[in-house]
Amino acid sequence: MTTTASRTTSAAPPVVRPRRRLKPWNMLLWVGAAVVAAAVLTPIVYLVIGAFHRDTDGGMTGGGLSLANLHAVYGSTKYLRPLGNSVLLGALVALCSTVLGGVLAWICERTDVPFRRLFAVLIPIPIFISPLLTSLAWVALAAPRAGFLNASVHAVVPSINSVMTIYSMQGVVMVLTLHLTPYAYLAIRAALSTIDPSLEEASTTLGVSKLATAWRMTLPLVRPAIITSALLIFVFAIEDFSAPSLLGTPAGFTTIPSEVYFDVARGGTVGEAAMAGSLLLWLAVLGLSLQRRVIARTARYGSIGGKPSGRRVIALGPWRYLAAGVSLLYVLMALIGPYCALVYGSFLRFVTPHINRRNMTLDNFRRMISVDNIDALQHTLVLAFVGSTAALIIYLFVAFVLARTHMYGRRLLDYTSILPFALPGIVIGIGLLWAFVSLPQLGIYGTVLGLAVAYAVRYMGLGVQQIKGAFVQITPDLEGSASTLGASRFVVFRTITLPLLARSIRAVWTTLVVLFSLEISATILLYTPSSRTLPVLIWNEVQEDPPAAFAIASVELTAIFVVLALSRAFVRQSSDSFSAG
Amino acid sequence: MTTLEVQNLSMSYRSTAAVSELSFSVAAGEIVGILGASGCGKTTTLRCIAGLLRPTSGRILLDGVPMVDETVFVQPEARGIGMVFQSYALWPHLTVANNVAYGLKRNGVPSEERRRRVEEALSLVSLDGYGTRYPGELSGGQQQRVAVARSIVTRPKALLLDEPLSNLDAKLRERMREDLRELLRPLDICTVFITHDQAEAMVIADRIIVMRDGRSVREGTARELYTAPGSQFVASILGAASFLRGVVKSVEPHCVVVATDQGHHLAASCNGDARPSPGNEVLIAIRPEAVTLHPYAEASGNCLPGTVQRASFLGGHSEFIIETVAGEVRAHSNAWFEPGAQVALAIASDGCSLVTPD
Repeated sequence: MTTTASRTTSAAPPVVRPRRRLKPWNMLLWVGAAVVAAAVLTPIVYLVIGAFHRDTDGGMTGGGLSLANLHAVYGSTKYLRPLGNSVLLGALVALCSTVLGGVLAWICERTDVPFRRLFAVLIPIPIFISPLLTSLAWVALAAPRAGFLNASVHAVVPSINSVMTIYSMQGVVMVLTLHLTPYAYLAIRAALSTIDPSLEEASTTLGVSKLATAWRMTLPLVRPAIITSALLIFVFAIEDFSAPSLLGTPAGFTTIPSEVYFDVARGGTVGEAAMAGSLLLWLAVLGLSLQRRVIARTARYGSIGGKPSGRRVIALGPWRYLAAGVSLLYVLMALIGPYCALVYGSFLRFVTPHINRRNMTLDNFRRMISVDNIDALQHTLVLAFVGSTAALIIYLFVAFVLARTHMYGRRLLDYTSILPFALPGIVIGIGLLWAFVSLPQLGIYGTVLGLAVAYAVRYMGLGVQQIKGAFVQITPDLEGSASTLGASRFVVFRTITLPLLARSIRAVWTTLVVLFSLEISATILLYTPSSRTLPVLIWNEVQEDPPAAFAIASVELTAIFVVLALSRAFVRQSSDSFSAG
Repeated sequence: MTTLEVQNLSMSYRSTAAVSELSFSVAAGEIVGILGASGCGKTTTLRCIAGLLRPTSGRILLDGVPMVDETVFVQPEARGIGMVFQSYALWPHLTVANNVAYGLKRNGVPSEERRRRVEEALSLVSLDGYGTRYPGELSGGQQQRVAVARSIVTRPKALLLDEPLSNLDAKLRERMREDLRELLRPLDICTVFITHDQAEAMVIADRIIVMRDGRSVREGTARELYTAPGSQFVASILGAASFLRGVVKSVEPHCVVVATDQGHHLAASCNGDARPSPGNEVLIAIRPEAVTLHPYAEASGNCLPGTVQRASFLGGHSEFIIETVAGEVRAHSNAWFEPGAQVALAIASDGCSLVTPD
């Protein structure tokens, strides 16, 4: 697509499409945009309503307005610890992920590390393994004494009972770091690849050593990418609910999302949970607005760009084995180790480090497809494929309105569609919970449709931004030339725009399939016994019967790997046909 | 006979006017080139004609039928106007043949005829056998020809070309100029192309419209515009020129005698509307080839003395920048003078004309 990109820049003249004249077309745009805006604003509005609501015996409908929740959350010390923990967790994970991601990015982009291509393929995959699954796998690996890793070390060195304990703040930090590192890796690697190697060569010709060049020249050039991904990872880390609840709570380490969840789950007041959720909202909004500010400021680095003229590789000599070791360690800890642990664990009758035929069973899989659980499997499949496709169409519509029309108020729609980025899953969960219960005439409380709505809202920021980015890549001339040749607006979209967007759309769809099949943060507050999903089953089985949870998780993860592999094969095949275009 | 008429076309973005009160018409078989610097509103003009932009005011008529006026706006797909984009805008996901066939398909041409016409169009631009390739596999020049084939295969009533050769390298551009002219000439449709390259405009266009700040400054054939530019702007955008100031000494039937500050007299042709009268301060444009250089010793009559500042050997001729008492003058000569040499400049009146200053 390089040619397309350069064309985009060469098309200097301002492009203004003819103003929309057709009335019905305008109406359709307006109705669609209004529905989308309503869907995004509903959880926020109801979060506010809930926060200022006085609960009556746990009921959410009665009662009146009150400041009791405001007092309970902002006026007491009850939430001070979780808030501090959330900030600490976010900061630590952002730091670790960014450092690790940056090192991995530099290794894969700029060094002659062995198996570079393989690492480049494997390192991003942990993005698709949700924190719930990573946590679960690390419970299997590093639970005190019984974890496979701990038991193996104990067998070799009997004096060490547990080499590490996953039930701790360090455990939460590690799991989230493993899961979120690819965000930093991808962003920093992209930034590294756009730096003209001749800039670095210029530095080395001036007598600066290679490593000093990397430190003094390269690092400042990728600094914006480092800062923005660190802030994004901070936001993702503070909003995660599953890792702190699963791993932190037993050690007394609670964060806002886990506190909010246990507030609701223990039959506490939902209003107070909503108010507590607002704490999270402030943090997320702060992180993201800082991130946007950095992105806006980085425009001045643009001029440094130059034309990327091939990858320049630093010969590491014997150090390349260390580089390979670091990469391998990450892949083992974040991808291969957890997957193997989940698969192995799913054949066990009970959690035990002792490998023995009598401990092995297929019962876990049998139970998974039992009558009790088959509905959860169906729900997840429906959400993953039907739900994500519906969401994709909505995102495509919004992105089209934003990128290709001059509809009045589309800036507002733009902001609205970005908003969910700053909405933690659990906050969307509370907001929609309140909305669905308060509006029984909708009839979607506790239904799979309700979950689909929550997911569509949650991932709207991601989906719309990505598809909008794909629209921007297509110069409007490509569509204009089709118009001058007699194609109506609809035909242009079908024959030109859509095929050119196909690859990006497929990538976004793949991501959505994975995200929709693993969502837990919003689901955990919105599901009812008639709308359970596989992640909910996993969550419920974790305490009761870990091998059952391992079985569900390993099946789900295997399915996700198949989806990713198919999608990759598809993209390869289609990119062959017009590679140079 | 098809004609394309643009009447009082104005287009503004928010408060900035990109095009103001532009009017011109193009007859069938005529090639009109719009020449102007980037940002002068030429692309906007083209997009308004194609229907990709709706002008703020003005009318555009094709064959006497309004495409745009106060009440009408014909969508681009209904106009039957072909356009070649500066970026070529070839669809990367379609083969060359499918790119060219696209417009025919939209107009419901049956597949048998479609295939025949695509082949015809491709052979017209000398790309026979390239139908199964993808645009990304072609060179810039080939892509440009596919873009032309795609826009003429539907036999449009008018053809618009936006900087058709600007994305090609200098050598190729020179060759494609003639090719493009040969290709467009027999089509017998109204053709408008825009360019910032004077040579491109002079080779391809039958008539040139010089645009500046959204307005048409001058219109005419390349010869007319070159020999009688009328304004300093037109003289400098079309070919090279040096400008000298002076005072009108006397007015003759075909020329004006201008005295420079130092009392040297120059005969300049005058084709502007206003005849200057003696005593007026005027600006004259001197084409470099109108200057003949003599060694200073041979200076005679009305020669302007000067010193060679810079000398560049260009093969067929050499170019000199001469410092004279009246100002810097650019001159072409077959003879060679070293920098610093004293020379005398004889200036022919047909390459020297009065222009209005900017």
